[in-house]
Amino acid sequence: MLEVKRLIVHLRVGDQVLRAVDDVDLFIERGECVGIVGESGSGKTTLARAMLRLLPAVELAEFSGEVLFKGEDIRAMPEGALQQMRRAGTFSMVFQDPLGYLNPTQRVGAQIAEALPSGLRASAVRQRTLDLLREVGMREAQLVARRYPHELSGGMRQRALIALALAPSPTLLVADEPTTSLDATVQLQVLETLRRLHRERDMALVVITHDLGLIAELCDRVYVMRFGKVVECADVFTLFEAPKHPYTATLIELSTRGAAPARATTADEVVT
Amino acid sequence: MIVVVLLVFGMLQLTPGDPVQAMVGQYPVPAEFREAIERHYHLNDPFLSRLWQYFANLAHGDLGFSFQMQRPVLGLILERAPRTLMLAASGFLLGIPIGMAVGVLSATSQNPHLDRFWTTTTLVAYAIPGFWLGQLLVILFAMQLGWFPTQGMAPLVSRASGFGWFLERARYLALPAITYAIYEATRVARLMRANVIETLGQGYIVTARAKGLSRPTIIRRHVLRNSSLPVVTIMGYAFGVAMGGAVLIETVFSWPGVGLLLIEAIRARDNQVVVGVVLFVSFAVILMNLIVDLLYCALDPRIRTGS
Amino acid sequence: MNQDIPGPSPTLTSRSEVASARPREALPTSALAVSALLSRLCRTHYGAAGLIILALLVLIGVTAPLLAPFDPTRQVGESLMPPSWTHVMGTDNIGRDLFSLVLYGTRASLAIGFCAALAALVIGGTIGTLAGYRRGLTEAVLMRLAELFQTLPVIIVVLFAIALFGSSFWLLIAAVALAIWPLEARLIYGQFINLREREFVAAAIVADLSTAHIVLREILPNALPPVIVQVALDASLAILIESGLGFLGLSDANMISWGQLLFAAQDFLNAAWWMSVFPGLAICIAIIGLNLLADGLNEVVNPRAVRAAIGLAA
Repeated sequence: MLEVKRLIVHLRVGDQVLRAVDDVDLFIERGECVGIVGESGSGKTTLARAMLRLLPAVELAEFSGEVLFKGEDIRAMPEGALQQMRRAGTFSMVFQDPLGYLNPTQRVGAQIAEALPSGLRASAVRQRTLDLLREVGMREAQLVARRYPHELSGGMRQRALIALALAPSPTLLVADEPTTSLDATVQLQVLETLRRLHRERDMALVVITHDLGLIAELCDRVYVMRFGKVVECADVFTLFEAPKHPYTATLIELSTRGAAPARATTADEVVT
Repeated sequence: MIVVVLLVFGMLQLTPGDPVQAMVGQYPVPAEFREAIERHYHLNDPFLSRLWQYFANLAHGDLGFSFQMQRPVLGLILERAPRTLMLAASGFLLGIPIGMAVGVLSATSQNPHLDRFWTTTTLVAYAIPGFWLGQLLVILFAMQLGWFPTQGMAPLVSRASGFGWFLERARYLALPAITYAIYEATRVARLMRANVIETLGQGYIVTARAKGLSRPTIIRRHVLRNSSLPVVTIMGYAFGVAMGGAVLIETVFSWPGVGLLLIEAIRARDNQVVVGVVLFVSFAVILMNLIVDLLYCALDPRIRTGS
Repeated sequence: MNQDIPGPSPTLTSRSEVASARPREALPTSALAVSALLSRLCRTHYGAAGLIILALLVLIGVTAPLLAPFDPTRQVGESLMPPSWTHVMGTDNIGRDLFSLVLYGTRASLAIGFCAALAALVIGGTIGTLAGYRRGLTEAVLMRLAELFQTLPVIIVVLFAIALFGSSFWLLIAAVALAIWPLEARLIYGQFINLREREFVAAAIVADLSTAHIVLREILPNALPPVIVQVALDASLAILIESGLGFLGLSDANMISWGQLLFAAQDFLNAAWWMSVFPGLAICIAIIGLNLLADGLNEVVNPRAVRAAIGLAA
């Protein structure tokens, strides 16, 4: 369904150019769940955004290769066609930091409604918004819809952002560190929500994370990234049983050794 | 407010020389007058009781008496205040929308030359002192082109009435109001541009783009409101600046407002009026800040829910 | 405390190291460091432009007697003569050469700008430091006072002070400093609030260093960078205030300043546009120079590019 060929993304950082994504090939089949793992700074978030063309043009020093979605190249698409594609629910994205990615001055419901297909009647918009909130597991959907982002807890915000991403009924959902900033129990809830949605909606899911546990729970296939390159690609079982690349082996070993290192990385994310 | 009074009182106490003389200015003080003032302000009493008396007088709206104008200070100020307010208000109403528009245009422009043009324009305009701008406008539009009157608020003799009266006033108001507006607009434009650029870098703009909203829609729904909020916060401060600017701009155009009153009083060493105007302006600015705070609470949900 | 847990790999901890790293090294005190700051400043467009303008103005101020074709205090021609080859900027209402007047005016404006900005830095710095390091009542009282002063329109404060105390050169500087010190105080205070919680301050306290040492050697150098920017802005504000006072005819009557030239111009707007245009331009140039300098300093002192990069990685 989605095929990325020789994708190169160089970002402008101050006076310097960062080779964030360096010649990456990958593909995602219909209804599949694919994980992209790597440590912070390995280029996985940039890759995800580049695939959906969400990087601001001013920050791009170079952006080449192909991103074929059902045969059409998203990378070279004119802005107008791209907007139509997004509105039509082809693909959407769940971001890492739900507070920053929700508008602080608008009610959650209004922000979700904005992502719904245009041309619906007001009552239908309302109904769909509430349905979406219920679908991601919010019991008091009406109350939540009237809240502002800062009035919700971290887990609720994350789920609101998932609801927002689901609004255009996407066939591909990219979730960037969907559980990183959450408590362990809430992590589990969000994980369950994602798994259920993936199954019920027959929607391809791309999960970007440094948490191999999450990958093991959710994904069929995994890409391992380091320094902007894909170093390994395998299905989950093969990856965990017989990692080919030494870096993958290190990652797996570290994540199974105990909770302490994993928590340290999580804390880092919060600090910076 | 109380602290302002304390400060003013403190500075009056620090003034070198005879307090009666300082209060009256450089007019000869008749003996019975001196006694009356000394009694009125309890000048021979100890410090604290003097201070108390001063507060008591103020609480009654007694700002003192202008010896030059032979009128109570409060009356003088109240007569002039609406004119200053009218000038400042028309300047704000004209300048703030223009400034916001320029800021947004400049920040969202995809043409770097356009942005650079506006940035340079506002940078230069920012450095122009308001009163000099006023002089330039007078030279150009009043002297050379003769479109507007140079000074004052209304003709000395006027027979116009109704709409004609209004038009006549508007002609007098035009230049000082434009001066104010340009002054305000440059400040708002710089602030607005910075705000919009900051807002454009926020995550929720990426979210909005991911929703497939068009650029104008994103700017209208997500950028404008969020970057206008800080403009509201500086309104109180801007009002204070405008009150200060009133002194200069009113002088350029001989606009008989509070600012000109202050200058006339300083020149005539009519210190009761000086103190009165300073207190009045402080009061107005503090009041305005209070209003702005309330307004901001009403506009920003983050503060409204008090988290 | 997060940083105490050993990270799984060197690369994974790199971010936390950045977060806990000691703030920038103590500010340039040696000539070498100052020149480094200058060279970095020159690499920003704004900073270089501002520096050039300012250097030129200082040069003009210093060499005014050499540059000025006429004695600015004497009548050297007919009054109100338009600009010509002998009088490039024309003459004023009493026949003085305007070009020479404007050149000499540079001195007063720059002197007042720098002195007042420095005075404000000293007053504001002291108060900000006191409020920032001592907590409790001192902090509350001083900062409320600063806030209050900041609410009042600057020019009103200055006018009030001048109405009461008069306006000689030094009184003028004192009045301007009195009006703008809160800007400095609040900035330094804010810096102190940030810095006093940091590890290296705690380390200094544990090491039992004297309070003076902690404040002056540990915190202050790290608090200064944004303050430098503010000093440049203060100077431009001071020049604006002085020109405003001059324009109102309330500046020191014994000195030649651009504002006073505008005061004289006010009565001759119809007859002699040049009396208003040239001194006003001079003010603008000085203000633009200082603002550009401040922009450039700002870029050097807290580089936005770095922050933008962090936002991008998130």
